[in-house]
Amino acid sequence: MKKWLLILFLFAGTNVFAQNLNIDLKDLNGKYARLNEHQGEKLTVIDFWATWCKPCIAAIPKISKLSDEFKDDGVVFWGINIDSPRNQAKVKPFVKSMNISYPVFLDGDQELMSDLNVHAVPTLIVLDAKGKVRFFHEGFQPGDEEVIQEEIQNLLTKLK
Amino acid sequence: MKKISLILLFAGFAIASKAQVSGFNLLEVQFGNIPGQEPDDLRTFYDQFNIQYQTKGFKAFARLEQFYSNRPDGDEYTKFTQYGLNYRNKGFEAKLGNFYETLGRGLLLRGYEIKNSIFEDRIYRVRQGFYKDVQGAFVRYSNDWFEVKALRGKNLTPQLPPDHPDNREDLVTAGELTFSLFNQNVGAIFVDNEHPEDHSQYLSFHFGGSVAEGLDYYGEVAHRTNGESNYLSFDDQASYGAYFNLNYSTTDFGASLEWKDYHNFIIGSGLSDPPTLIKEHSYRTLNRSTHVSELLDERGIQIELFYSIDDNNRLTFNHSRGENNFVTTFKFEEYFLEWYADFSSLQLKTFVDYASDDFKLEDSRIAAGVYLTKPLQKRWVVSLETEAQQIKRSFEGVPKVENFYAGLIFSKSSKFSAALIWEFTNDEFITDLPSTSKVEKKQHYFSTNLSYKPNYKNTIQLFAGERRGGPACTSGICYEVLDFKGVEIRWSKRF
Repeated sequence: MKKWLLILFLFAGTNVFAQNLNIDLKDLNGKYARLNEHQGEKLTVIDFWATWCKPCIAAIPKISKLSDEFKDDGVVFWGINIDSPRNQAKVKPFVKSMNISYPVFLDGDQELMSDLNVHAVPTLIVLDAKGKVRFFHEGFQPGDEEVIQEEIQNLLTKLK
Repeated sequence: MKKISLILLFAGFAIASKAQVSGFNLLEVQFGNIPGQEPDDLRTFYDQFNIQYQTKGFKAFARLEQFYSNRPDGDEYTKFTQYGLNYRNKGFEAKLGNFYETLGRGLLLRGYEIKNSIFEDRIYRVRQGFYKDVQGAFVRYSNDWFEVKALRGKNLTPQLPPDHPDNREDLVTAGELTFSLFNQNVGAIFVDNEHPEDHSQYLSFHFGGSVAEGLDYYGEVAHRTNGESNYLSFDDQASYGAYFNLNYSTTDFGASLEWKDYHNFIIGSGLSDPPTLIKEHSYRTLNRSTHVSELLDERGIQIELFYSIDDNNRLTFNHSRGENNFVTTFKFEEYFLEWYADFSSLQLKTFVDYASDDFKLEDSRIAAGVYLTKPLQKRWVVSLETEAQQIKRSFEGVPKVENFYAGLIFSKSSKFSAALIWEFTNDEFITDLPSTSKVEKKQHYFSTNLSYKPNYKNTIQLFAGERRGGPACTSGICYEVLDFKGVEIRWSKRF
């Protein structure tokens, strides 16, 4: 009986999706950054990744190109690395060797991940200036970069 | 029933108030069992329901987990396994209830959650969320000059079922103070752990920062303060952990060097989780063979090099080696090289790996693999994954073992995928079923995986066939995955 009650509740799930960038995360130099002070003027693109995640690594060069493409359009990109202490030493050399052009923040305790209801990597989220989630993409396959690019372009057009 | 009503009431209130409510539900149903175990028509149900309410700096959350099975003598449970309140404001943070916290690099305390993972122990045969949290209170304050953390609570032993009376035997009180100046950090961590069998206290010092452009370091030394040895002693009776890391990075190139020395370093039921300095592999054969650090005594190094030849070509090299001194000395070493190339019309990942591990009686372990991914029309993608591994053991009973893996995967963007998986082993430690009188010398594992995401809120996965179990490492945590034969359906829902 109990389990069916819960399942029924799930079908009645709400459409409200919470977002909360009122959080301090360390950057690659170990300094805390308050994320809501670094949001994009129009859009903020957040990519959750880890060094051990193969699809994440395949996605990063594509996301880096998108970051360059939209940098003058009020779009800010963030990388959110969720590596545990086991791999933390590798994160900065990895990021530098990949020539990632956007800021990367460390979320080893997965607090931002929980706040944004993210449960897998890679996950890419696009927020508007008010912090509302406008696009949510889990996983990465070749060609997904085109989907992400189209989505950002469409959102920018709508926001004009 | 009262608990269920409470959570429904909470959810209903939050929805009605149009507050920032979000949640996640993970439901998994299995029809089947470990091959050779009765009943072979075991049916189990696991559900994890998470809900959170957020407004500005405030967050309230709860997790309800439940597990049922048709095993006559099996454990079942329905339990609120996490709940709490968090508050954040301009560098200040307070948490009441369940929380994850890692101090320093986790030498003395590490909390974690392997999201989307379900843990099942061979003894209890109960499935549960895979996480290690503390239940208590936590405060943190930071500014440009310093950071201070303090916590007190009961640490979870994740291997025990949620309703096990001994799953929070460690009462931990801890604090961390870190000062920062001119890109340099120095700090200290104190941990007091009250366990029914041992009351231990540890003090660690850590330091880190940048010494030049692209050159960074971090070090941490932790030592028991109330043990048999004095604080500055590193003799055989002492309990200590030491870790050091040096990084260099520049355009296209990155290098990480790490060193460790852990001795008598198991705190309580497993409070600490220091860096293992072993490569975390995502390749199937390598992940399963990962050397697991022995905290009773282990020292060693790890070197990892990253080099981007260009935007579409990338090399990763890793070397790790370790040594355990017990009655005799056990050595471990591994060399790993990976090349990733993106030719636009074809993606290639290939690796070679060599290792030896005295502790596992492995004289040599050689593995290689090739992964090919080809985009097709209309955003369809096909992938072919192959791996082969040969292990030579000093154990005469099973001196030579071969493992193979192959997967054929069709996917449409990230919305749909269908995979056919084959695995093979002739490792009699694995293949021989204790329930039969004969010795099974080889085993094929065939399975299919389907995954469908109709939208970002829902993911439905189906597994059918036989899954090979064994050691697995995810997000830095190593654990045992059980063999399984049957059908498994998983539904993840975000709301």
